[in-house]
Amino acid sequence: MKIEETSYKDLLDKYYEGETSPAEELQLESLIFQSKAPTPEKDLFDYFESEKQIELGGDFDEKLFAKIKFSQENQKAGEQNFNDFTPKQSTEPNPEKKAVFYRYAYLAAASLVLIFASVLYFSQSNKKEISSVNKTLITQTQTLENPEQQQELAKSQKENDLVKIDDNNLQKSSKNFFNKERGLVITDENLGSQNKIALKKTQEAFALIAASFDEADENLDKLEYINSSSEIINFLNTFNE
Amino acid sequence: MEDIDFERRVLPMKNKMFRLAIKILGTREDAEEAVQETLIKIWQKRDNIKENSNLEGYAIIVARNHCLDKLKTSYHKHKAVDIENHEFYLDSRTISPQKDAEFKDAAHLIDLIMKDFPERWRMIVQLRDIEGYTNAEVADILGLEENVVKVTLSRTRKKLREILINKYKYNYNEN
Repeated sequence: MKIEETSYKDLLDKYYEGETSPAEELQLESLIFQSKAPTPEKDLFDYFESEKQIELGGDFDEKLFAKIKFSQENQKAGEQNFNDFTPKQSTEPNPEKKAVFYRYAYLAAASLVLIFASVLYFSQSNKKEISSVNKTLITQTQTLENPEQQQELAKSQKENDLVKIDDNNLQKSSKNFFNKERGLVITDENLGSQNKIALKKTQEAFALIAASFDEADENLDKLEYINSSSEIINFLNTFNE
Repeated sequence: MEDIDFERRVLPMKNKMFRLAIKILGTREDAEEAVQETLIKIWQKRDNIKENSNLEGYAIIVARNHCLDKLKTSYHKHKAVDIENHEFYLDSRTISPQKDAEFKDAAHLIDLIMKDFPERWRMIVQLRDIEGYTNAEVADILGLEENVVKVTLSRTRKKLREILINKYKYNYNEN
């Protein structure tokens, strides 16, 4: 009994110093529960024993493997999704890429149309300006030089222009803008019949002005002649006096 | 590691992990969730685990780390506990009236006191006195010196005894 008591006390001291092995603790536990008297160690070991009984519910494994299966399927789905983006399947058009391609195709087409329209517009307006200026200059010079030739030219222009101006055929008229040989030809429908009439009247006005200049020159010559003659008469009259 | 090894060597650890998780997180529900997450984590990494590795220790370490991570990022983070702040337990010889009113028996009192102990104290008592690991094994799992485990274990056991004696005034003769 004495040996047991010594052993118990030593074990207890060792236990509180944290020096007992798990086997010694089992031995101590059995010695503690042999006694019916309440001790702090008994309460402690009771507590440890009750803690050892705590376990998970019976359905834990089932729930765990269900989750594992779910995560496995997700992983497989993830791998499948990853494969979707490998070059193997990239030969088929990707809807997203297709949409992007069409978006840029529309932009490119719109830009081309815009550029073409701009070039056409500016070339037309330049041509118009040049041709109208040329025409005015040429008609002026022709009118001043020779009214008869101007009339003939006006006649021929009238024939050509009337033939070339085709309101119902813009394609034809637009081609004429690029006809170098016909730089003088007014083909724009904006320069319609009113403009042609205005041009004709301008030509007539220039012809009248030219004629009046001729008359004035003649009158001036006469006036100078008269003036010079009167001066001679006056000079001779001085002799008579 | 084959799937069969997971069931044979890791899954039987679930209750040890569960009890450890309760000591860290405080409730059965949170502990069960943490154990489930830990086991899924180990299962997903099973190809990288060597056949001859200490799976039991590994499972406990992973479970503890997972629980501590959860504690950091969740509502479980009720208060920061460290050994220095708990020195008052060693000096004080009284239990708060609140604690006194809460517990029903000695086991309940110990449970309540344990919840207020630093995490390292709780882990050492859990692994040594409840799960039956040696000081060396506990030191390995917790990454501590074996002597630190021994000293901390001694302090914790003595502290529990002190609180019990103060409460129950055991009428026994040590001789």
